[in-house]
Amino acid sequence: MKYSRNWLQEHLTTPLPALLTLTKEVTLRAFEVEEIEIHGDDVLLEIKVLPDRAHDALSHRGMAREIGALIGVVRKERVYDSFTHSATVSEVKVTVEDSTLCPRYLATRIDAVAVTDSPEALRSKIEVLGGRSINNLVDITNIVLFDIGQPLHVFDADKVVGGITVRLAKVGEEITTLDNKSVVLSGNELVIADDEGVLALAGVKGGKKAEVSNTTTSIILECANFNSTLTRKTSQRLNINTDASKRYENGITSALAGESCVYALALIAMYGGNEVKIGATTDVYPNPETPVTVAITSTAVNRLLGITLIDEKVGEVLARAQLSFIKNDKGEFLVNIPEERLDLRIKEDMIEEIGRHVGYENIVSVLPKLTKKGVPNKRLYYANKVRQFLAQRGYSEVYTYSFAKRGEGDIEVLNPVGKDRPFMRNELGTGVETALVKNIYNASLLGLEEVRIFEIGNVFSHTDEHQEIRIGVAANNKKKGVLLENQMIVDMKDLREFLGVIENQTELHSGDANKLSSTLGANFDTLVNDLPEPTEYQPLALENRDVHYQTLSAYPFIVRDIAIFVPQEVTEEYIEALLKKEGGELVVRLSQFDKFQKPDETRISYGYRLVFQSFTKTLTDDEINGIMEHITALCNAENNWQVR
Amino acid sequence: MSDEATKKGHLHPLTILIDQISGIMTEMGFDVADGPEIETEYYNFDALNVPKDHSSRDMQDTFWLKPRAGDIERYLLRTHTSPVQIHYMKEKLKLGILPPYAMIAPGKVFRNEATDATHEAQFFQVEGMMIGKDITLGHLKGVLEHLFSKLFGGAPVVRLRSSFFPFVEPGVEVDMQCFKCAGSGCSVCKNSGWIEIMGGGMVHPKVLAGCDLDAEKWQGFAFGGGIDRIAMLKWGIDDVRLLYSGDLRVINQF
Repeated sequence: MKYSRNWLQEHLTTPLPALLTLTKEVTLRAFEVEEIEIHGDDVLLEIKVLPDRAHDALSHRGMAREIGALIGVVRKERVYDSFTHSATVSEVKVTVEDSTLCPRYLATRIDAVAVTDSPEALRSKIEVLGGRSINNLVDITNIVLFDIGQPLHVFDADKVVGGITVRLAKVGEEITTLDNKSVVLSGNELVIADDEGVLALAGVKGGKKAEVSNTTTSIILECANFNSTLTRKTSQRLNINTDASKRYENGITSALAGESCVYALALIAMYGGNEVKIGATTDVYPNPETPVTVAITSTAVNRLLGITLIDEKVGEVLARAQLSFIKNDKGEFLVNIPEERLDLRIKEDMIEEIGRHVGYENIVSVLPKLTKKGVPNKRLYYANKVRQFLAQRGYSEVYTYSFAKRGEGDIEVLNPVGKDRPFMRNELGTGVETALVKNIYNASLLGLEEVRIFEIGNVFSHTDEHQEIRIGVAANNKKKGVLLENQMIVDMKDLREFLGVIENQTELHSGDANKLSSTLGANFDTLVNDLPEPTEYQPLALENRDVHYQTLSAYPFIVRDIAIFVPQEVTEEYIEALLKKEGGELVVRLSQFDKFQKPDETRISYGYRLVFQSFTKTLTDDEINGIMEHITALCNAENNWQVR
Repeated sequence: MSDEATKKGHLHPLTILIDQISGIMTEMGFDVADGPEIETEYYNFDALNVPKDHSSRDMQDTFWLKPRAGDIERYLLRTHTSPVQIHYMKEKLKLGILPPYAMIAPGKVFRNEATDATHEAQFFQVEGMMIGKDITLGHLKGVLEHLFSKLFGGAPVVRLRSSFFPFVEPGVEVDMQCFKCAGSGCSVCKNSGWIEIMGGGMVHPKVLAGCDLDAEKWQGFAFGGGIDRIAMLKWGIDDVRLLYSGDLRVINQF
């Protein structure tokens, strides 16, 4: 929510500290301050309030009280202007069918109102938060909402037939909401109705039927408390999220409805028109909230947080946090929980409250004393062994997606990430094959002639979830592909021997018809099932600890080969240095693919492959041809070199 | 990258991180546990004190499985590694083993969110939990400072910020002083000097009680954080999706 610093200040007796101190304290001890905007002499703070504090802190007063407690600024209680109830205005008849769904409902009829543009005093409050002023009445309800966190609603009293009933909707009942959406109700929504039909979706959105217009002269002001779960379900099902629904669905104290009614009526008395007459308030509140106390001891605080607070200090912290308490003869602090703080219910909640106020930075880091080393699970232990074995054989490890196409999985996701991949993979072959194809395409860039990869990951069937190991190979031609596949079969056999697996379980094969790529897999859990339980963790022996990661280019690469005769005494380093230098920065890989000496030739023939790629653009053939011509010319200019 | 280096295979950066974390933590006395990626609603939410109508259970956050004939519970793709806490405690108690417990659980988790360079529908987390008679928030701070110093080098200070997760009370966000600039501000920490790296807190008494542990007698901490994010920070990987593309242009750099 957005908070105006000046508005927060209205709830405090002494000035707020400098912005830097303010945001630091709030961020560390309460909420994340996400954005700060300076607007003239005011500052707008975007503060992220999590669900546990939505009960009290989604309002300027709640936030000001929190800040006041954090930094020791004393709060100021707002004094509402007095107004008189007029006996000539009729009382609103209210029926609440189920008080668990609507714990409290206050309704007040006000006659002789004048719906006008808001005066500056109201308009500025709405606009400071980036809102748009509508009229005096709507602005008043919003001001109360943002000030103390209680949503209100106003109906045109002349459009309400009979009394007000808070009830569940009837199946098929309809409402047109204030934003002109027509909604058919299922019977599970709580509604505000008159004797004719639905006036509003309780706690979510008002309806057109009793909408206040410029010609409205009588209104009914609603201040109510609605059940959080039901509000949430309604808001979710109808996909209507409002400032009101957001507050109700997290739960707010029903005590707030009474106060908000007094506040709103005071504002209406002042800004609702010169002749305004306020009727008596009907308050349906069968089960008023009872005060809550939570007992804590300094011992319990210290035991959980790992600090050493004496009783006196705990008392001090509570006092500064403006939480009243009494200390009983058992040495317990019985803390009176402010009615809006629905988050403080058990001992641990109070310990957190004290911890925040003391400051977590005052908690000393301690290493626990554990007598023996930890043990890994079997999967991880053997998976690491397999990883090292396969890396030695030239296989690199890939992680692919768990999501799969229809036909490649048994378990279906109700709300998949992509419509094309609604299933959970039932084998790793597809993912590994896809990676093989991608990598063989990049083989030149990678400086590889063949690709060997593996994945260890979970797969899902109707009967179980298990880990699979899948190894795969790919080459550029069939001949090499066949060779690689045979090698892969040997590697898998050797892997089993390395692990000491005797049992010969079914292997999983896949591959393309042209033998360019193939994979081989096994149920990893079955594979290691009979192996001994690990007794200690064995870290991977990694050679390349010092990684300097380089971002990938988003542009395609171009490959060029060059074959050169050079005199015997010319070193490979010399040739490579020359090619690199003349090729320039665009040469991202240089590899030798050929070296031979013909019987009748004193010179040596070298074949080099240059891979060109830019980080900033797609290279053209013309551009690279130019570079290659330049390189060819330079090579031919060397003594006794000849580009073939 | 020399041709020589490509003859041996390369291990995935996430494997390397999980190995390093497992090495550091087992050395300290933490077991490495494991749990299923398909979970029941009970393990993923109920047992972790997540309210029945909490927004994290929504379709826009959680991948639910299509109900199958014979299902008696709702199934989902786990949204965090925290259910492993529950599995671990229940299994220990089934074997008659009371705390102290100390475990970590690295593993794949799923979130239903739009993917971009910093968000993926699947990613890895590492969970940590320690339960005993006198385990405190101070121990959480100590253990994480040790882990981060081994993982990132130096002696990074850990800062706890007040936060909220239903399965811990108190709940904290864990910030680590930036390993790159040691707190003076740089591009890695967006000039704040701090890196938001984990969430944690003291295991909620309801979570312990749900596992049949007496919450008056036993207490402890839990933490959880994204491994992908650590990989991205540590090595400067600019797109999380590269970790799941099976692309050797990335993997062969490790």
